[in-house]
Amino acid sequence: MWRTVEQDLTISLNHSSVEVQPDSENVGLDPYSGVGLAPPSARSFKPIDLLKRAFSFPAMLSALLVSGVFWAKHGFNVDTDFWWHLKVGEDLLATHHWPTTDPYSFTAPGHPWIAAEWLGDVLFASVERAGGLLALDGLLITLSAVTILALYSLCILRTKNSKASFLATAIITILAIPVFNFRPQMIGLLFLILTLIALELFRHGKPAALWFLPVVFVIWINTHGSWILGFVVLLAYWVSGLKEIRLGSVEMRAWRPDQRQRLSLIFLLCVAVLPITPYGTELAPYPFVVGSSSFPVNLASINEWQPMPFNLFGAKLFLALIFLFFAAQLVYRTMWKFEDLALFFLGTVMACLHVRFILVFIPFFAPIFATLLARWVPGYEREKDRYWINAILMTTLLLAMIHYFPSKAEIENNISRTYPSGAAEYMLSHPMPDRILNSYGFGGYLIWSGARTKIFIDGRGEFYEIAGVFADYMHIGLLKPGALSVLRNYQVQACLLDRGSPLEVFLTALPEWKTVYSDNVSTLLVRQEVALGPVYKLTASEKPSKPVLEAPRKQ
Amino acid sequence: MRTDSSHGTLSKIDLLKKLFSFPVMLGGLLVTGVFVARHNFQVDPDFWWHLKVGETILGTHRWPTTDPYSFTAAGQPWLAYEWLGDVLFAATARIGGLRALQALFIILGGAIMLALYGYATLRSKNSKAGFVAASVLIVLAAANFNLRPQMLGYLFLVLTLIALERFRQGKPAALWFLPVVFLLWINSHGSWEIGLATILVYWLCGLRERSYGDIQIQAWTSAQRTRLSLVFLLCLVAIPITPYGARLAAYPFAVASSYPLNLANIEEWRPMPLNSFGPKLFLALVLGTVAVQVALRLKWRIEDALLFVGAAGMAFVHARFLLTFVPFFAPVFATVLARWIPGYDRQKDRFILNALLLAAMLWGMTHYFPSRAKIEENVASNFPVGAVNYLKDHPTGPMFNSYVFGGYLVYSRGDQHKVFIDGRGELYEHAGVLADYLHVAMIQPGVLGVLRNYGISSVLIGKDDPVATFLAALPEWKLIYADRVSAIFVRGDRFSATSAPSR
Repeated sequence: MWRTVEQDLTISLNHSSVEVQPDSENVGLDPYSGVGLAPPSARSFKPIDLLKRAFSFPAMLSALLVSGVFWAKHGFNVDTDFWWHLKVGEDLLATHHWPTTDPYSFTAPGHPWIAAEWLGDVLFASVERAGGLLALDGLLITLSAVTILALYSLCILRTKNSKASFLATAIITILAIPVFNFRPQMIGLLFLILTLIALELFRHGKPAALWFLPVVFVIWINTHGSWILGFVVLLAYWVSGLKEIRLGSVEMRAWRPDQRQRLSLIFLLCVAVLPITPYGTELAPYPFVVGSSSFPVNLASINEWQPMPFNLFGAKLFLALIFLFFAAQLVYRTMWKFEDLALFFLGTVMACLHVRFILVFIPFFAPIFATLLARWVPGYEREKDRYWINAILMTTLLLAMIHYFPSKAEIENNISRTYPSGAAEYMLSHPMPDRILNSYGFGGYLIWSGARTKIFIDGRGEFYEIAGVFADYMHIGLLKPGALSVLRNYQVQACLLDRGSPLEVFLTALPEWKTVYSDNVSTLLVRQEVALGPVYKLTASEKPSKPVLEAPRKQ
Repeated sequence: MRTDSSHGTLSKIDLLKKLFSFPVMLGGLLVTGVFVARHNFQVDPDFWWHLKVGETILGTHRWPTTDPYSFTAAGQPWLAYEWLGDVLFAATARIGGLRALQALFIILGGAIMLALYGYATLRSKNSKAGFVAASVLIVLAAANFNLRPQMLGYLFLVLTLIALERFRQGKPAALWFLPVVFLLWINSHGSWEIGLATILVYWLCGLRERSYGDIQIQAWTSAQRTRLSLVFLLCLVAIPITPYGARLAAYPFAVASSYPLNLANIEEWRPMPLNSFGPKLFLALVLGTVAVQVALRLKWRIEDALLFVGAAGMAFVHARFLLTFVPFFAPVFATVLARWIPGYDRQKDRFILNALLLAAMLWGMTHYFPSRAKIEENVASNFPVGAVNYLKDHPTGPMFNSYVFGGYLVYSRGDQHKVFIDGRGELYEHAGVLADYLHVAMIQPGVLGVLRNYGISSVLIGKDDPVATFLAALPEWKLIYADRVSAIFVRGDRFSATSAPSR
């Protein structure tokens, strides 16, 4: 049953923070897509209407957002962690066995470890099986685009203004793109937005979507630890409907008893699905373990755990958006729902403390931002729409995306600019010692490429910190006193390091270390006594492929 | 006569009551807080070269125009742009050595906190709320108090805000004091431009009477506007009155625009590190203000809102501006707190108890004031005192030194030892030395070539610095001195002329 548009707007006015006036611009909008709706009695599904919806102005704006995402992400610039996720997925598909101890390192072999994000890993591996790197690039773009479109829909649902929502989403995409990494957390973000949409629909008196949440949570718990945020959102909505309160510009609107019961039931169902994992209840504590600050080395050393770097453009934009909200509140005194503000402040604090949580800020802030923009941006008017122009533009965008979709060679070229593909090839074609210290960022790639079966370290930072390896790795990498002794304690016989890193410069200067391979990305060094021993022999052809950089001239 | 005498007695009692009132006791608590936080002579590495500059000016009565302290940027144009603060430090050191400098540090910090407390009280009309605001903000401020001329700059900024607020409240006399403040300020620290911007914001925000939501714009009367304009112009006139003429005025603008390496690498220019306690408190205060605004719909004067947003933005982007945020936020914070904290009631005051508490605080500060030996011990635990003593007996050739040790070397070795670098980052970036220093400190490819280019034959570095690990492993470099703070390495060809490693 379709609710009438008038009913929608009434609910919106009662429940939403938006002070939207039911003017001619907004009447007749589908709250999900911004596409014009006919009253229920007149609603038809004729092909021409479907075509008009498909080529409406809001749909064209969606296409623009997708193109923006394509333009930013089509180069297959993946996170260093992507590779070990892919490897875990491949191993799961091949063995149908979920690991419980570390299978990849020689520094912590046999230490307890579970593939906490296994479902995302399997998705990546399946797509790779189906179409290789090209298919993976397609998946990266699809995931990014779906996430942005879901965000756009959430904004439209809140503001009933597709143009303001587009603007808000487009600006926020600038924040999102750099942290859209090809990791299971992307799927977590998508689920978070879907949860917000389901709850918002419930606020609007459409409870059906709510029953979808337990299914989301059963996938989510097996995909990424951010499911905990889904519960925080559920709880925020539940709490904000306990009482009818209005304080300044904040209001809490009470749920009806049947609404509260339904929400409570859904919450319990979502809790009930948490143990449905190959590891039983073991996955559930994982986010709490990570969040309890029991990983000081990770928090201090890994970029994504660092505080927001306010000297960079994206962080300045983030700051500007916070102050814009403050200034707008001073001038316009907009009414907000309690759950909106609670989530906004939570997202802001989390993003400020750890830059990786900008992904949490984005879905919590986007509807607020769209609401602010809707004050100035006029709504969509179906009568003025130019469907043909929209269709031509959308077709052009689609053709451009097809045309500029990278070839396999381009993708491989991009990978080789960031990852040690040359060194991996070298290691595969030459005898190498067993124990190789590798750069943290190279570990995942090495195990995926098959260049090494056992590595020193990879992106599973929490695991290596528990095993005590991460602290030692940082000790060596930061050249702390006794760095060479720590290296010797691990009986390391070779090192694969970032080109130009302090450790590479250090070892290169020592007579007992010889560079056997070097390119723009990495340098492979071998201990000389090893080179002369039975395990490995340095030959004349294995001289460095490129000389060490000349010293810069004094200015 | 009786009446007069009786009146005289009463006014003395009133004076005593004022002196030992509860608000004054609260001021005493703030000063004690500064003492507790800063009585260990924990000085910034830059302090030492400031002191040396002051000593040089006092000794020569000349203001330097080229770099006198390094061998890497020798003869490059350089101005002692904070000379008045430097001279104050040097004059204090002449009078009473390190203990007098420690006392000056406490006095400056205490004066800033008292001025802040006074300002917050002036705005909120509630000394208790002013105290609570100041005592929360002391956590942010005291951690950033350094014995550097910028302390004078912060004091001048709070004084400027007090003068402008008194002017807003119909007491114009204090405004005429501002040109004098600016005359001292331009010669002490580059933050005078923030003061000028503040006056401009006040001036602009009184042009029209308007109201937008919770923002209120209160227009100046034409007499007020004229007076404020005149004071602003007088402050501008004071700016070229320096030993360097108008050249000092350009300095803050140059720093903000021309020194990317300084901005990227020097800690105080880095963004707010929100993983430590003070910055987390700062974040809580900023977001708390936003939350309070949503919940309580406070009325804001537009200049308050602009200065709050501007200062918070600056502090997020550069941690050093946290101290600028404090005076702009204090009145806002005190005004919010005053909604819940009852005002001071003179009738209920216990003057004798206040006097006892003030006396106890004074006694405590006197008792716990550090001895010279204690101060020297603190200095030795942070700066390369042992290494400098070693160098006096074992001079080396051109020495690469750690950035944070440069100032101490300049101060302690003077003309006998030209440094590679010190805290005057702008000078060294302009000369191209800072880039090379970072190349070595970060052990970038070609690091040894950079050292060779400068003819470096010895290195003074932090004991646990990566460069120390690097050099210790190289056969051509020998460790000749090491203690808990620093290590000295010499190149192999210099080693034969030196003694065995000393620890």
